[in-house]
Amino acid sequence: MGFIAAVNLALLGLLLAVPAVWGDFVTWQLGLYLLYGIAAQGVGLAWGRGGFLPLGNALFFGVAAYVSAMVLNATGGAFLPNLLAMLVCAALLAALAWGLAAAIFQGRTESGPYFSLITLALVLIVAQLAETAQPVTGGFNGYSGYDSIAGLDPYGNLYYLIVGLVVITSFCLMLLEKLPGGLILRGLVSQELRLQTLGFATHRVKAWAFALSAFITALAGGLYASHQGIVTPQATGFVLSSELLIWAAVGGRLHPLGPLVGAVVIGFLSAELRDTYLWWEVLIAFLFLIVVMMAPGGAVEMITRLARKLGWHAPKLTVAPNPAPPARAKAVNGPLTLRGVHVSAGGVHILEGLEFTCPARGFLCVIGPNGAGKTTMLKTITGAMPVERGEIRLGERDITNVPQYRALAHGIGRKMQIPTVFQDLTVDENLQLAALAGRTGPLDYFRVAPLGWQVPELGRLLDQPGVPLADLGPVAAGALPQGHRQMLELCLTLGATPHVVLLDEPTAGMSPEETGLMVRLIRDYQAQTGAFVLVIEHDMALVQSLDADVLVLHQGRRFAEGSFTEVRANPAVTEVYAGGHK
Amino acid sequence: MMLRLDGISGGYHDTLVHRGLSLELGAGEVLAVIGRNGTGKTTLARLIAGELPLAGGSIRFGGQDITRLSSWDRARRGIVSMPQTDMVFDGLTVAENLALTGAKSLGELGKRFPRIAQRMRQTAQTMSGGERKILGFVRALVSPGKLLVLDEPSEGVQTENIDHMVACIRQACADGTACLLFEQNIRMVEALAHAVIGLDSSGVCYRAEGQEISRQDMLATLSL
Repeated sequence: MGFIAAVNLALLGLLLAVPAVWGDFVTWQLGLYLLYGIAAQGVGLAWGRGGFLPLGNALFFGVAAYVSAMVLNATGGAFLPNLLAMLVCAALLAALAWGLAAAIFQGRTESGPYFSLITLALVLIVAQLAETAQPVTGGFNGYSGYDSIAGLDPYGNLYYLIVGLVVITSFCLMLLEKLPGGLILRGLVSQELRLQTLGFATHRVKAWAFALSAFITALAGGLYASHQGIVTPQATGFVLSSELLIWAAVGGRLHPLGPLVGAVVIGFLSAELRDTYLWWEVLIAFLFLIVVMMAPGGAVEMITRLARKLGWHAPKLTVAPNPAPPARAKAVNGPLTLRGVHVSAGGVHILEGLEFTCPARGFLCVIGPNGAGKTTMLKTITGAMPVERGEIRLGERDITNVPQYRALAHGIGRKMQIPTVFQDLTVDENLQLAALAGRTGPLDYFRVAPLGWQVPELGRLLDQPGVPLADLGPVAAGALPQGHRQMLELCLTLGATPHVVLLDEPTAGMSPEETGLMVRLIRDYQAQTGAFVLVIEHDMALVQSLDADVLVLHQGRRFAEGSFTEVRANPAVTEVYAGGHK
Repeated sequence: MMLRLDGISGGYHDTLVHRGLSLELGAGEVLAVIGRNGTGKTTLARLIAGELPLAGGSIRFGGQDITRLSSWDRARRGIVSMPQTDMVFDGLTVAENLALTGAKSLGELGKRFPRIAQRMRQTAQTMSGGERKILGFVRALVSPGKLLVLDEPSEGVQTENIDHMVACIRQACADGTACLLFEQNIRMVEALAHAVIGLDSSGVCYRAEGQEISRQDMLATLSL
């Protein structure tokens, strides 16, 4: 048994021993703090893992508490109907959360204050409703006079039901961290834009994370009704919302147990200090400040960091390598065509009626002066910049202004000018995401096997002599030098074996030798897959060595095209652009 | 000596990238540092600019010990740094980017890079990668300073503009500025360097000055 598992079991043993050792009242207190802790786990998931800050989770807690109280009242506390009602209520609130988050995050890549402010507004509205709808909710005095679930005593056996829920939520959250779903969430926080080019609809990923967050918080709210015997508007108020945040922050939002620890420790501290010390709230506020400044990851993060220093590592999930399923991209049945494409940004016209038909397969080099619109051309193809006029087609399909996350499903992969690898993830995790890209179905996020997916094209690439990534598995990608990042970015681009590969200055910042290696890798991929590869380059030796058609862009238009020799011999081209070598 | 590194060591967290590296650079000189990826060029640039703490050794600049000075204190004393990425303020316009250097006019630079002069009101983030490099370079060159630390200025820049960069650096050197140039572009190094240092994974593997500098040896340094 691993050390971590032993710690978790010891914690559970401690929880189960509380009623016998410390008596009824402490049991009741701890039950309440654990319920708050579960609700805060939901906040921790959204904030720590999803990277967006919900200010209104008390909404789910409070609404679930009211509904639970009303159902308990109507059914006299019978166990099964009430359990069912709790689950259905939590699921409905989760669906609401999903829709809310998907609508807010669609088309944005920042986690934005909008989301936080909208959830804040909602919680204020619901708290107001709870207070004014007196006939239904009991208003200011609260809703009371019902039995607890299955008649369980809040000072006795109800506690074990709460501990059961703690075990379930903690186990599920810990499991999620190890599964592809957890990896994708961490990738999302690290580099959302790149995750979109890997084919993940990040607004939906965030929506699922928020739905799960709401679900967990609502379950805690349901049991809260039984535990307290009364539900007041405070259960759905802004104060509770912000307390959930504080518990998650102090305990640790990055670890499933952090919010629980935060809620329990602050709960008992407040209870002790409240009666003995007038300035207790100031003291708690200072504790909050100290933890946030000294350990931004919270108390549990501090402990796990210490444990790692002492050599106690969390058990690594070992996944057997297994063949990846084929990529799910649509078949490409013709060349990439741009017709009269106009793009501008910040009042500057970047593309002014670009017309071009790419070859269906093989290479195309795009050259041109700085600011000619080369990168913009790639961005518009993948939907990263909006086309104002004109259209872009891939074979028979119109792909003008596709959302960025759909580009890969059309078979298009883009390597960006400045590598955008997942800096907070290790090289291995980056490569796992590369293998997941464009291949996952809904169930794959919750299976272990996809973490071991092997893509033959990727494997061949990594096995080439000179590719430096094989020995760097556990290194954080953010610590890699620029040239290594270029290689990793290439892997991320080719993982889904796209048919249309757009490479923006793949050899920038590389020595002549590394440049040669990069060219070999790209050629090899093209030969294996018969893909169409578009390369933006300034290095004329490289352009020549690819022996491909050349498109010269100038001032947002097609300026010239032809073979390398033809373009080189064209006096109009040398007038605007000579190109060079390293 | 304008800049003198005495046995400096440094890197990230627990990993030392450089151990006991020394170099000297006089006023009006260009010292080029070459090396493959991962040999610590950017790390060295950041150690000199003060963005990373030294683990050992000392740095003297203009006769004064600046080993313990912060990056902004070093900048005030005349070390102008152009980082490899993030060399411009994305959210500011070209004019605002330049205004932050304190320079009154672009002078010769405006003629060499007319695009910059024409695009004063454009926000930097809407410029192309190469244009941003050029803007970063122009920022560095108009900044009042005595030492330029340029980390791969030619990356993603078309040849004509690299040639303009070479001319601008020559002019700055003629006026007494020293330049530490981190590059992979051998042509640019050949055109400018009074001395060259080559790095590999174990440290300095090549040093040459003046006539000794040879393309052959530099390419050997860059190969595996």
